[in-house]
Amino acid sequence: MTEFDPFEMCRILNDENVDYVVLGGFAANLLGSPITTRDLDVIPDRAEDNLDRLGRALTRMNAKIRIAGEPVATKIDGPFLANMPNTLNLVTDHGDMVLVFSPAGQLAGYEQWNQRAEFAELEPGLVIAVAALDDIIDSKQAANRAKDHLSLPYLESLRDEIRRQAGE
Amino acid sequence: MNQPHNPNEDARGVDVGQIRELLRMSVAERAHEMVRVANLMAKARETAQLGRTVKS
Repeated sequence: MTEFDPFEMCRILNDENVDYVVLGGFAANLLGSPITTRDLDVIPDRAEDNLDRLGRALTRMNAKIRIAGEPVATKIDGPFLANMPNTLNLVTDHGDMVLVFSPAGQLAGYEQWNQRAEFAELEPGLVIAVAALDDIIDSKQAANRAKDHLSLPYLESLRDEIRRQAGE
Repeated sequence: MNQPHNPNEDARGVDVGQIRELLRMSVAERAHEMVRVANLMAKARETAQLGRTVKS
């Protein structure tokens, strides 16, 4: 079993100067959600040069396409990523990663998610952009999957608690 | 029969005590703690699955 190591994945993404925002379950964890996850959801900037950098980062992680059964090894580079319409599920040497090109919800793409994201320091020198809790909740409500129904009460209670502690 | 009421549970049935505990930590501490738990749970599931395979 591969250890889930989102720190190393983010370290490599940062090292390759990839512009991205972390969303989904791990982002929710950083904000205080108690629901564990074993994949790193990332929305990358779709600019051509950024997808080239993302391709290099994924190659360093030995990323393969996650499907039912054995993962599929293929060349994942900028042009390949540019052709991805919505999501790409990956297996890497540091755990699973999901590239979300068009998240469900009101926010269209990377620019809008990034505008509302906050920066978080996971380790000294390892700073990442984390999606806003309101945006994660909105996206999960729109996605409307069974796993979203399970996590939404926790995220809504987390939002209430953060507001309560802030005296709102 | 009525279930015993958890005083930390809110109207959604969520244990807010767990959330408060996480909010007391720094972001880095939360990140490492949640990853540690996720890997631990996955390992436990894997061990249980192996046990079932060996028995059958």
